[in-house]
Amino acid sequence: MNALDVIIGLIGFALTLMVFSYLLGYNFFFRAALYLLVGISSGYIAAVLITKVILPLLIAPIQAHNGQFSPLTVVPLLLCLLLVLMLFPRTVSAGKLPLAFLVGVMAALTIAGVSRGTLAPQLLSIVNRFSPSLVQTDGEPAWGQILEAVFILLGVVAVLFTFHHRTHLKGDTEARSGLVEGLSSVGQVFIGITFGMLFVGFYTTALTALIAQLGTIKDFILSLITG
Amino acid sequence: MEPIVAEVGMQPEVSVPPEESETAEEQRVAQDLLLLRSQKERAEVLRNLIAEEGKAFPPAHKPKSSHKSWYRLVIGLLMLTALIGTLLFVPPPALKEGAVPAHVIALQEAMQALGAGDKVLVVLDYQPATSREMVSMAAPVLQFIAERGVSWQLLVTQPSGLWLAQELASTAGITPIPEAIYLPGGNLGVFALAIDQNQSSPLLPSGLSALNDYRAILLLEDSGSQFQVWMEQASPWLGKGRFLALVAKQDAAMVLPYYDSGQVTGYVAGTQEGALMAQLLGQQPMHLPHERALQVGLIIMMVILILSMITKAEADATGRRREEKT
Repeated sequence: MNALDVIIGLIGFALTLMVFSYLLGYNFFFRAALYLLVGISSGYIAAVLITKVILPLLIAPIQAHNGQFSPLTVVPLLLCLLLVLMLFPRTVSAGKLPLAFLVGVMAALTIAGVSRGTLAPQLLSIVNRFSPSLVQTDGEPAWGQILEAVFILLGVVAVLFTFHHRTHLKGDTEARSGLVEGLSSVGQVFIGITFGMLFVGFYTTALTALIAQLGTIKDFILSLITG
Repeated sequence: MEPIVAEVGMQPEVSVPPEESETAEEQRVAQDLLLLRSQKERAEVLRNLIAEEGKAFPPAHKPKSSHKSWYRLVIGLLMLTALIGTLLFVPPPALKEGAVPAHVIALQEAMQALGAGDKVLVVLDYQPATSREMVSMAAPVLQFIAERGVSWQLLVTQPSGLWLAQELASTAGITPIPEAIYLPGGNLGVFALAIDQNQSSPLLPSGLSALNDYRAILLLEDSGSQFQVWMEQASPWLGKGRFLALVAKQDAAMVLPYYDSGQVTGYVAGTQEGALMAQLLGQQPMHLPHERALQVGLIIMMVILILSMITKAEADATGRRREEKT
């Protein structure tokens, strides 16, 4: 282990301890580690954006390419300049133009993307689970596949009923039928299972990162001891 | 409500005390005022409000609850002690041979179908916090791709991805380390890249081919929402059978529906599946996070959750009993 590795290892060890100090409350050491992270990240991101985005993708295309100047390449720069005007109280309204453009495009993309990339393929996938080739094996019903398909369909319908039910409950005091109430409750069970699985996933990922960091510190200390 | 008649010559309670600048005419009008009690009360409130205007209020003093920080300290120390103890004194178990999930086999088949001359785009889209987990999954796969003679490129969608790409390539032992291309713009960048089949846009980074030219697009993701962006903005333009994924364990639930619908050919989620994948590809699995420590952490969390549920139920029952008594 060379001197640089030792220094980097010690810094990493110290920063890890500073972050762990949050267990004692929101203290100076934790805040210092946090500010260090935010400061370094901001500086790094700014440097990347200048060298990888602003100069090559915003400024360079404006310069005449093969003797031809494309006026369209000026549009992004103009929109950026309008955004800069938002810094001044008198010209805030001018900066709303590029923001409105962005929000409009993002909304359109999201709606189109969700319908084409998520809703349609996944609804088709549910329908396809009932295709004869899947629910039969050698002419006999494949009960396992049928049960799985019915279970998935039940999950989708029940969850949709849960949200439908909630929307109606907001302004409607009319009594719901037992079927709707029952489906809504089943939907809540499915939602609960989904959230549970998401929580376990998040926790496992965080735990993996923590164990990996503790393992690195253990290896570092052992290598210091053994030389 | 009975009107209160201000007697002539008496000063009404609500009238603002006459200032020196007030004219005699105004004073005479104020003395002749006839007011209801409610009007007097409102005027009093208004006068108080005006008197408080512009004065700074000290921030509300919240008594600090020392209980919460104690609980946090105890639980945190318990967790850390258990994890460190396991790391120090319990040897890691050998990798178990078990049933391989269908989505892992699907990814293995897709990888083995790649040959020399095929082009693969590796999209690196994870944060430094999850890099250990992601590298342990991705490095053996990259080694396999490199050994097959597949032509591959690295695309990153976050600024931190530029150095994470170098770390990944050097961990996988790939030399020379390929230069990663940065794609800015988030959702819009992915969409622009997907539809730019002629590579005519000067606003996209140079060095990339059109997405349709790649035999496979391998997503390295630690965020379900970013994975969804690729599925929603790029997948509809490219058709099925092109996307492969290595995702963090936290995204396993998110990726499964896209695998079921055929939008993702195969995927691996988490370090355990990553190790299985490495074995299937004939590669050496990376050094995994200590599995026993992972199990200890999960058991501690389960115990804490169960205890919390019992405590909450007990507290609710006590609260209800108190309400019934009162």
